[in-house]
Amino acid sequence: MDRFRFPAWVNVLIVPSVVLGGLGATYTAAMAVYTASPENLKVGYKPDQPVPFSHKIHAGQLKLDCRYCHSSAEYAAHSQIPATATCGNCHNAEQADGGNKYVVVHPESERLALVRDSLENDTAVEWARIHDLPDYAYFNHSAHVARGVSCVACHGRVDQMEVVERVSPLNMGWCVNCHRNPYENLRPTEFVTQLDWEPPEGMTREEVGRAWAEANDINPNTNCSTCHR
Amino acid sequence: MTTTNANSGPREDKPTTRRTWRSLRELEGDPGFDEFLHREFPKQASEIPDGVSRRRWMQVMGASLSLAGVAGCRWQTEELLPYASRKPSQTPGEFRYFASMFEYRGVAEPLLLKSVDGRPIYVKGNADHPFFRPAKNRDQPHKFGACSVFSQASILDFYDPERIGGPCRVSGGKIGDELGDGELADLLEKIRATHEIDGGAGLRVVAEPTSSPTMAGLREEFANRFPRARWCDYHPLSRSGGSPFASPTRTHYRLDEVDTIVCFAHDLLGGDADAANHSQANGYRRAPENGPMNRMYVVETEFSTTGGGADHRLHAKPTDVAVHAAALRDAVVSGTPTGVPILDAAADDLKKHKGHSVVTCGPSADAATAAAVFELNKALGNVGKSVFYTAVEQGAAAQSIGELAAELAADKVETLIAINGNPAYDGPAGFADAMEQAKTVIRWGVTFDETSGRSNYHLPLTHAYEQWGDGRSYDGTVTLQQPAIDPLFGSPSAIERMASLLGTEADGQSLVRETLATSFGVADEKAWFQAVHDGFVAGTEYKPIEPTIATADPVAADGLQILFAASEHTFDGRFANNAWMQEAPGVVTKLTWDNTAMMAPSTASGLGLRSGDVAKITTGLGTIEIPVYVVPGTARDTIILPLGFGRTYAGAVGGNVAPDGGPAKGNPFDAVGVRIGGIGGNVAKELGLWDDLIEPVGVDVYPLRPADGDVYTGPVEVEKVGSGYELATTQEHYAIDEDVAKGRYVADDGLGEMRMVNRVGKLVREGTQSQFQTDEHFAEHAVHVPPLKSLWNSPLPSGVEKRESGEYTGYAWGMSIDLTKCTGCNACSIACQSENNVPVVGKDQVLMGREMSWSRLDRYYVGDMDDPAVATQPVSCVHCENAPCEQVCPVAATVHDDEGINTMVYNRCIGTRYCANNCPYKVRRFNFFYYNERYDGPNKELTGMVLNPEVTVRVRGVMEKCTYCYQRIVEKKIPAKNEGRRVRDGEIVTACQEACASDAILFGDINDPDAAVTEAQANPRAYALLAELNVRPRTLYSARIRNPHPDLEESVPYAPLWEPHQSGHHGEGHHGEGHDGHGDGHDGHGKSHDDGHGKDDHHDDGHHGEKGHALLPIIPVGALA
Repeated sequence: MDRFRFPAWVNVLIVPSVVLGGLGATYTAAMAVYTASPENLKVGYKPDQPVPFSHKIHAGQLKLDCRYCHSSAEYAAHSQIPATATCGNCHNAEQADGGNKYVVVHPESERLALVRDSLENDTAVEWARIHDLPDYAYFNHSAHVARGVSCVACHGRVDQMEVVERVSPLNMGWCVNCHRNPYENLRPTEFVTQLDWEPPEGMTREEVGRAWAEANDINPNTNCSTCHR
Repeated sequence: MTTTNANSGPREDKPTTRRTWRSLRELEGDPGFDEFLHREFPKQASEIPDGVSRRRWMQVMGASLSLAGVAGCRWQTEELLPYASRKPSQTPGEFRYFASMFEYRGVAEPLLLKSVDGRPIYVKGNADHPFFRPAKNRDQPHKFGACSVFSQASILDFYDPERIGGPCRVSGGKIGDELGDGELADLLEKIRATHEIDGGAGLRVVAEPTSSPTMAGLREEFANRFPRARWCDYHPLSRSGGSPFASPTRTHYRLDEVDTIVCFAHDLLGGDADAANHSQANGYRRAPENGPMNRMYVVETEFSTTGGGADHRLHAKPTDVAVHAAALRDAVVSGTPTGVPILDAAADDLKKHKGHSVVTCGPSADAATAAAVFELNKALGNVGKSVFYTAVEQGAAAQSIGELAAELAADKVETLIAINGNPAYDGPAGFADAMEQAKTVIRWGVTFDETSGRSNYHLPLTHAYEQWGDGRSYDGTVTLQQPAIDPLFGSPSAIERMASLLGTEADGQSLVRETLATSFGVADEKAWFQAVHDGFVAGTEYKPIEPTIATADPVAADGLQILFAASEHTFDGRFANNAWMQEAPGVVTKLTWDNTAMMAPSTASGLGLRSGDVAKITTGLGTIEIPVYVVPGTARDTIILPLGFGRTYAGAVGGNVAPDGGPAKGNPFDAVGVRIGGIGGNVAKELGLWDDLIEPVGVDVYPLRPADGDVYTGPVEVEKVGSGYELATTQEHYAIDEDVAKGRYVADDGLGEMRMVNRVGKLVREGTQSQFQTDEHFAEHAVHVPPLKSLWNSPLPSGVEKRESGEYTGYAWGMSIDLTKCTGCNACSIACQSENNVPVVGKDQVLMGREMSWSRLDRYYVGDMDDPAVATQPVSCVHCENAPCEQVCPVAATVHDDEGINTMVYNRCIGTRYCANNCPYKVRRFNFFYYNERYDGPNKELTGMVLNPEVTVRVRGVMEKCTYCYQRIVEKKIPAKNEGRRVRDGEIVTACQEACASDAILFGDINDPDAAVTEAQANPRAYALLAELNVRPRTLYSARIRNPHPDLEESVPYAPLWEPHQSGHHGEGHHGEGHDGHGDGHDGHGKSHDDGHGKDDHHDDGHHGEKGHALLPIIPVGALA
């Protein structure tokens, strides 16, 4: 039996198919890299929370300071999720002393049912965690807050978020970039929680940051031991 | 420079004298030792262990540590559970400390529990407690408050899955049906009703002695309510009789101002309940810079921690200890020479230091020894100065265990309540069987053990760290216990159970509070809170008494004797299920995972036995088969049998096997799975932990133990019944190259300057006080270090050169370890294990040299094999400035940081193990397996709670090592920086430093000229280990100084390592700049050679070398004369 031979016109397809195949492989690889990169995999993570707490209202419109709730960011490694009692300061009609507070905000709201449950039964509200580092990386909030790294540098404009989402990849390259060149993200500590802070007229963020770093001897290092132990 | 070392001559003449050696195999030149010497890991293949051993390994994994967090899939929602209401002191992730205590042998040890997010993870001594007496003039930047190894390791027991389970019936020796609340109440009601009728005639309690005032009060109430009931305090390590004191008496020693210490079979610095204070004072007095050194004489049978610390050690058969004590008494009181040089020297010293000396014996010494020691102290005028006596309170309605056993056998006991302890295992022979004669046996215990198996009901108790309680520390101070966490399994504590037996449902807190209010004047709320906060009630210590004593004469006995000793791993058996303790190498034996018949080399050869043989030992009381281990320095004609092994109901680590051959505990989860929910039940069942039969670790030697003491002097038959038993001893592991000592290779390696020879005896450097007085820097001079020049211009990323020139102002962390203070007690090693999530690996892996302990304690014998001295040296990563490990890591997983820490980046490590191969100190540890694997599942919720969240948990294929407790550095450094200041000296305390009672370890910023560590490193005794390699370690050692009696200086087993300075040839030429790696202490001679002079010096040395002077390794004392 004769061997099968491709007709001669097939030769025309050789170059395009090689090119297409190459492009396809490149595309697949590029997509894989792109979708698996922390910037795309992690940024934008916006899980539903059990209580529809709006940072936009509390931090944005009511101008509550971040540290009213996340107080330990100032002095501890972890910035804690506030205890339910913090919510209760405004939203709980049942005060410990038995009497009603003069001003109670939305004491009957259905959306706050979980909060009231939590206060009543001393149980935790199960929030979904948004910013999570691997267990072998150790981050310390207080070290950054005390140097004038604003909340906004990592968490974005939380005061404009109805539902909090992740705006930073929190991967090592991203951390190290800032440790190498932190000036964009530095500001005097009194503005750390002022998310809409703008540098004074005639100065850029970087200039302010540089001056601040110089005045306060801020030299972030990139030792492995800074984050890994 | 082909040097034929002139010293090889005398060395060959006397190959075994004044040598430093790690094991008998090394001394005998066994090739097995070389295996450990030449290879980092003797058996590299990563094969999974098989057969029975594999099961053991898996079990160990299961019961030790687990992985804290599994990253898992990124998309999985992780939950954050905030407090519902948070107190200001509760900051998530921040450590809090709670004052508490841990009681064993009836003495409460004051502790602080380090707690994070509501779970205790680490234990340390409560430094503010009056129990801790810092040495007078102590000048250390950190507070003294060290806890014993057992307390340190108790935190692992706290999360032992073995504790799972509620009140239950016991059927067939196993956990039976659960007991409902109603049934339990009925049971108690029935007991009350029955014994109210007979006045308690058939009611007996056997309990572990406790110092708890609350329990004492309840016991009195119990005695009033059931006047004919009896209560037996039983502790296996306290003798039932034999004390010569008229009433139970406790002895306290103050070693601060004592110049002469003579110990008779007393582990003053190791096992003693007051060892922390003894170590503290002794450590202070061992440092020559703190004034005149003390001198310690030890007469003992077993080589103990104290024996290792002694200047003169006399080994003696158990019965001879009393003979020697009496002889010393006669020598001191009436001047009769003893005929034993060491005792004569001791008598001489004692007479010279009347009122400033102390003679000691252990709390369970025999009557003759105790009487002689008492009389000695009295005659020397030490009582009231360095020796104090206090009365030990006796509980109501007391009864001895012998009486109880007789009553049980005579069927007179209807109800027996067994509280804590474990008399069915460690009681006198026949007690366990006698227990079953009682109609109802009710067991109150923390875990289901041998005694539970012999009972009808098992009612679990809380562990120390989850209950309210009280106790008295060794000095008598009332010490409080507050729960650091809610009871994990909901059990009540012993005092709560006792209260409910008496018909009052009171909680522990109110019981303790009432006791404190009525008996110790803690009246108002403020005082109560203060007491709970502090963990003690001030001013409640025992007051000294003047005891009377009956004289007793020593009875010498011939022939082979057996000494039963507390185990350094399991104490009396209670820590048998604690994998940390099982794997902690014995202080002198370096043995893990076994107990053995220990005997001296001469005894063993007389019996035709070698290490690893199995001996059948038959006495009048029974027969056991036990492996033999030859321990140099043990008294002749003595077999030492450590108690506390061969547990059959201990659990997944220590052993779990019922008499019928099946697993002893059955599966407790069937009964209680619902209640304990997610924490354990189904998972443990799935893991098969409780379905497996688990072979006991070691051999139970209690059956051979005489009822009235620790020494058996009757006829003993020893027969060899087997050989080749593998003993997992670590004494040869991680041995640093010492080949030259054997004359196997010659000094010249072709480079001349880089010769790495003659390290023998140079690793652990020690000298006598007279040597030290002659040449303060003798330790540094023990090894000649040629001028060290690096190939690179700036090889030192941590800025050591900048630091030396004063340019560098950052932190530079460093450590100093004082060998003159170190007793080798293991506390640092266990503290490190607890702090740094160091896994245990099991016996099979230890046999392969794969133990993971970051801090190993090298023990060297010095002298000949029959009567050696011991030198100990803790070695962990020394954080070289010029680290060989860093230079070979292909992925930069181990690198330097700006503060000089040699960091280990686990997530980068790919496990090539090059770094370990290149580490001259052999301090790197490799995870050959995922040693934490078994609990990398749902059960981590329980066992994983012991992990320190501030330290990464390592997985398979990752290298690890000491990090100088980097997490602790950060913990202090960041807040200091936030406050705009530098870390203060003493603010950062590493785990090993914290645990060290003798203050042997100092840590701090060596860039700070005033820091204690800087001072210590400038001490003339300071030397760098392997300085000749130019690795520039950040950890420096301070040489040990021994203080022999001048008359005996020639005959001690330890010899000067360096000939005195005036002998001439050790001139200026040796002060090359090589020393200067140690810091600024020697600038005087260092600088003068900077102009290249050092080079010349070296040639000079070479010349000397040919004459055999410059490289003298060891000069026997005789050779100097």
